[in-house]
Amino acid sequence: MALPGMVATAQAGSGLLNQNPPGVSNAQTTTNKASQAPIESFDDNITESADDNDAGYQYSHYEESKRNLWDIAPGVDNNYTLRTTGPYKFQNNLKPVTADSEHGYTRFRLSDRVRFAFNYTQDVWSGATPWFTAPVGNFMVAGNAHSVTGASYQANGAGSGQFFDRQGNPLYQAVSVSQYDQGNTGRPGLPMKLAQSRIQHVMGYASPEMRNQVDAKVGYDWDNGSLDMGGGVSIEHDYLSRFGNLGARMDFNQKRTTLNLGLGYTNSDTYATLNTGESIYGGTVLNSSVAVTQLPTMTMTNGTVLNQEIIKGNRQDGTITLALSQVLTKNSVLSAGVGYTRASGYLSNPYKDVLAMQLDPNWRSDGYGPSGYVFSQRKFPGVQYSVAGTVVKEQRPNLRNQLTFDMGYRHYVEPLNAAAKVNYNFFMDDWGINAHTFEAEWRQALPGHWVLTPYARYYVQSSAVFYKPYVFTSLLADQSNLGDFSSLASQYFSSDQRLSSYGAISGGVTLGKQLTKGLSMELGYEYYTHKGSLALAAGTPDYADYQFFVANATLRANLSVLAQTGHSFNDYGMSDWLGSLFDGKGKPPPSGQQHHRHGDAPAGVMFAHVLDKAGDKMLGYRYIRNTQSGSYLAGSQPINSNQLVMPNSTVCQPVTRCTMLSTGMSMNMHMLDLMYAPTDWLTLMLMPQIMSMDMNMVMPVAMDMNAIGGGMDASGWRTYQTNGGFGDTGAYALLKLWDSNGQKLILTQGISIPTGSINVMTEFPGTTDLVYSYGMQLGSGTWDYKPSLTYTGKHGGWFWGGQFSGSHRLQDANSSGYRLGDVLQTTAWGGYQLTHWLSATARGVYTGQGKIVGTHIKDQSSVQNMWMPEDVPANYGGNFADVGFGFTASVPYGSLAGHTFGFEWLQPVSTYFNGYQLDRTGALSASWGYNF
Amino acid sequence: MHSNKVTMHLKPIAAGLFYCLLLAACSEVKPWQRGNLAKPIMAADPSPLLSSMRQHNYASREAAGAASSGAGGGGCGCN
Repeated sequence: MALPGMVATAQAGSGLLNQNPPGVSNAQTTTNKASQAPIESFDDNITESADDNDAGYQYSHYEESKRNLWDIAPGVDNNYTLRTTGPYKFQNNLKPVTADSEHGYTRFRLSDRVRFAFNYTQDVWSGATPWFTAPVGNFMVAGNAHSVTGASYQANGAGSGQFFDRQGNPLYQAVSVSQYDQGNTGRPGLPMKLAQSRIQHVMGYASPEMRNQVDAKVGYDWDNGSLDMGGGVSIEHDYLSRFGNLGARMDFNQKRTTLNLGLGYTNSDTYATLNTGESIYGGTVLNSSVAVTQLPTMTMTNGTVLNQEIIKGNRQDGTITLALSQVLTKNSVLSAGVGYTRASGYLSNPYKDVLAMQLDPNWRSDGYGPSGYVFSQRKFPGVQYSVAGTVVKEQRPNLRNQLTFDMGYRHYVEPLNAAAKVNYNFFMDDWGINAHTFEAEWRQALPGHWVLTPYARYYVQSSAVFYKPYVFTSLLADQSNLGDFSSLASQYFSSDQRLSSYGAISGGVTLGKQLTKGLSMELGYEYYTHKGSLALAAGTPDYADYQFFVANATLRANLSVLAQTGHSFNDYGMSDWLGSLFDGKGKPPPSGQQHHRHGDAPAGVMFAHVLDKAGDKMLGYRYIRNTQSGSYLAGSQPINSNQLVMPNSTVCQPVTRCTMLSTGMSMNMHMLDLMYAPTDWLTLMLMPQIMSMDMNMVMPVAMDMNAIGGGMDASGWRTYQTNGGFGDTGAYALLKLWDSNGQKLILTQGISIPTGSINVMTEFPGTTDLVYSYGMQLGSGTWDYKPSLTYTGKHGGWFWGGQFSGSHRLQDANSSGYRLGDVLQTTAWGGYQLTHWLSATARGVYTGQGKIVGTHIKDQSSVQNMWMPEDVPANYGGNFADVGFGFTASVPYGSLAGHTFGFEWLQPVSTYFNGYQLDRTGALSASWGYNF
Repeated sequence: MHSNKVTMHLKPIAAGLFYCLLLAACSEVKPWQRGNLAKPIMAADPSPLLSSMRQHNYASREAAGAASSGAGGGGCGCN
């Protein structure tokens, strides 16, 4: 006999080291059962099976502040240009890093003792990140808007001509070189004057990048323990990581003590494409142990050499953790844990560079002073001068041993119905980093099923021994090694701020609300500030300081509890349900308690379902995946893509010809259906959506780069675009015009709110930023009117329906100067109820869409993209016909009763594009819905 | 001398705590006395999605994060 409380207490340790991916963690208790039912009434089996059939979805948005940049007083920069007006302002117009993440999980019991959990995570991020660190004086050249902050920065020659004091702090000349003593020339002048300068980050901009992770876990439970085995994979364009883990839990002392043992192994490959000879990511790879693959070079007719390198690396991480949790009193639990992680292999970041400078110890007498001036007449004790500089790839050791130790204590504060929680973590590694984390949290339960949780965190670390903002080498007396940085090849250095000495304070609040039995949501906000001055010992100066915030929204549904709500409880598990699907027998449903939702429209049809009566609610999720690949069509005719890049091609006008072509595109839409019926005849619906898209591109090798007027910088060549984040939000009113004899007529009036971004840019060194093509933006940018009229009917096992729907843009142009074409769609379907739980559908769809009206602002003054057919407004839209086949499963009984799952595949049968587009290859729709 | 005295005083306490942790004999919290511990707000990780997101954010911005987040594995989704 186990009480539900034991699920929570006995596994307290498992959350301590956070080794379980969310949803996989078995430390949860259901929101409902413990708080709302008398404990004594729970039966072991019911508890377990009710506990572990749940699903959740979380969306989060991360946004960083801009980095610090400093103004310089009037004077002279190290390029010997007199700046009489001042202070000189640096431009900082790079978009800071933003990241949009979504995370979904589901888990269920396959049998009484076997659990299964599945997680899916997607991150899309873009923005400016520190590339390397350098003295401010380097960056007096007025800014180029995109790839490098405040400077048109060239990797080669960077950092030469800099003055430093004995400690390596940067100095700059506060008066013009022509005004100070010019030594041997004998001309009169002012004494050379050096003032303290500063250092700051040089930022690199990254186009949107995407990470997808899937992982799964299987667990087996004994009465006094459990064993979990899991694994997963994380995929980025330049990083692939696979991992597996093993966890064992043992309960002692009538489950007052729990021991958790965890083992983990991760194997990761780096595959980073670097553009050499160009400013961005241009650092030289010094260390020969790093695998660098030179891609075949391409020589353009104008002499430009396209020169790309790939850094390949592999790393392996092994972890072992041991955690103990102990019930101290009826209100408190103490936990403690230790962990060891060994990382080996390529541990550097291929996109982080370090400025290397060569100092001349004899610069006052050997003629290597600025512009050939010799400073022998003036002594500047301790002042050093760099005669050469470059940017090199960071070099970290290829081994890292890490130890962690944590302690946690949580206490139930009975008079307030609150839980107080404190945690401490100590970390040390053999890179010289010691870190402490202090966390405190107060979970306050409030009337009406609300939980308010404020929390605070302080993190502090010392720096890695090889953390340096920049590195120096020394010029030999005979100057034979001028400009030679090979002596650095065997050293370790990194200017990554994450290895510096700093502290971080963060705090936030989450607000949870149980919406109904088995369904809860949570909103959270956190603010985080990273500061050198918060370090325990000498911190890194404030050039590395920054802040970020994260906002998130989470929805969690306990599928079993939902199924119990409003229906008599039965404890059939997932296995019973699956069993009933395959052997057709299963356990008979309790009479009168079976769910009937026959006659559902195919998964790809929206607005065909209204709620029955006032007060009803429905929660649903829809997923639609659209893909395009194969050859380009001109109208409806496949063409040889070479036609698009021929010199006489007019497809990409006003650009002479297309430069890049797409080889495949996919767009994923995740939509949340929130429905509520205020009256019997009206259903209100809110539909937020999350988008993600991916496009693979090629540049035909035969391309004549010069032909497009020098606009294309070869090293900006990227072979993919990805994007993702919040899309447009729909708000709809569904009116039941007629409902009789199994037939319904539904009129929908809807508005699409332009919450999706339409200004997503791509990194493009050497020119201004480029906007992503129209189809790769996240929204329409306009307020859209979305009406539809739907008819549905059913008779016996048959059901059918038809719908007219459309999208009309309510504005002439969005903030970027264009609008998408209007859409008109007609569809008709028929279906048959195959069994009491499964139905099949077939349908036909016709869609017409106009071309894009207007041109993106960025292209209006001068052409800044239009190198692909996808960048041409007139290529969008067309007339399309599709047939669809699908099925819908409505779970009639068991722990998932009341849930409906639908799938549909749409196969193109006829395609006519208004211009040139990649052929359509079909669309997959999946839906889940739950009425309550 | 003084520090010795302190040590003398601390020893039994430390030993007691150690014993308590190992054998959990300090208080007999019976299964039916664990109602408070069973409350959702007292769970070790009541919001696993949230804590996983926070761990991921810390892990990709702090030197200690990767090890502290245990054996989850996976990429960074950052630079």
